[in-house]
Amino acid sequence: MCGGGEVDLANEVILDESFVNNEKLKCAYDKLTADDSPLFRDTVGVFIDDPEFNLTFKVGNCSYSDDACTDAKNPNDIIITIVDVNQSGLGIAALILHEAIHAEIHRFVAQFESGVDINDRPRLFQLYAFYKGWAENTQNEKYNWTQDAHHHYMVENYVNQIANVLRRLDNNNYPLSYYMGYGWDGLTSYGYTSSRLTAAENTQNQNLRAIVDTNSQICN
Amino acid sequence: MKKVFVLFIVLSFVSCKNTNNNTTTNEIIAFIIDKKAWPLPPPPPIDDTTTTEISKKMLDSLFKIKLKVAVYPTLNNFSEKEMKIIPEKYSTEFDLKNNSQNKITFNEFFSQKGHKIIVADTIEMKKYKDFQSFDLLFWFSNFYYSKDNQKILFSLGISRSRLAGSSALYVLKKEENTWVTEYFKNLAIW
Repeated sequence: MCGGGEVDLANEVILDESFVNNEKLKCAYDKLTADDSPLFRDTVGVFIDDPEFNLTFKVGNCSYSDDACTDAKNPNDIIITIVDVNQSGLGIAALILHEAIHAEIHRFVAQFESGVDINDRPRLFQLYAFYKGWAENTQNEKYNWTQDAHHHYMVENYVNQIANVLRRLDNNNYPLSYYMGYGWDGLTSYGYTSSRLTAAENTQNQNLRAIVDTNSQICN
Repeated sequence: MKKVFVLFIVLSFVSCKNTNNNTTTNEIIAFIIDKKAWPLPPPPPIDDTTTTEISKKMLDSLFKIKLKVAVYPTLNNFSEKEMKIIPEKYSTEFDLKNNSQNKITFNEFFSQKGHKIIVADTIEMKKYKDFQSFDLLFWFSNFYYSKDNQKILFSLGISRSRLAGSSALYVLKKEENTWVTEYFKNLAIW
């Protein structure tokens, strides 16, 4: 690559120089690639078979997030920017997965708009219709309601998967419950709203996660 | 003495102008919050594949909820990256290079909908991925006024947690003494 970054040939995903040069990020990404979980294959991996869609990872600033953001203004050229690199290796792996899920949903919806079968993921489109209608009903149509649809979809489909992947990356050192806090990163309000998480469960998740964060050696 | 007097007049004028813009900006911040701060409705049940609309009953109950909304304490000028996505016609309509509107007094917000508006505690925010002391974070860019003060250009990120939010670029224009959206573009999601 001209800029000195890498094209991950296994996945045909573009890793910007800023990403490659960050030891912790690159380590977490490589662990995820080596683990080759269904979740990683179904998110980052789907950009393999679809030359129309590029996914770039970089380190930088997001205007209104100190953690990360996914820019899909051009869904054919999606950019994930990681801001917070000062956290545990497992936290970074969870962050990569969270943003990669956004990227994949954007790609999927863009594909649908050009002819993919809607029945492939009826729940996703149900959530899209529901939150779009909600924004219109509150005269708040100039609001990016897609984020609410995405995050509810994540709660319903990916929290356990993220926890499972992180547990495997951490060599199964603790029971799955210790990794659920990572799966719920950023999603707790959606969990409460959909009655899939209670405050007590969240407290327990965070306490267990703190133990993993303290003891895990993965990419730290 | 005459020079000092002239300088005093000029400074007074500039100061009044900034105060007016500050007042307007605070009004706009409160207006935007009233417009866009909504509690999150629960999704339709997962085994109910037919519901695609929020019920009137739920909407009515959501309308009644008062939220605690935090405003991020700094307003930054647009980055070079953001400058590039501003439509050409607005680049000339707004003075993007010499924006002086960067100091806001954060104690004069009033929500007509009864939301409580506070300034975000950024130290607390760093400790947790989820917001502990408020429901929503509104993170505004600086505000760029058109020369006649009838339009405002800004971008805004709205978050329900540090990892659940989205941002957009807005141009508002004043119509019959109220602000309406003239232009809107989604930017990013997180």
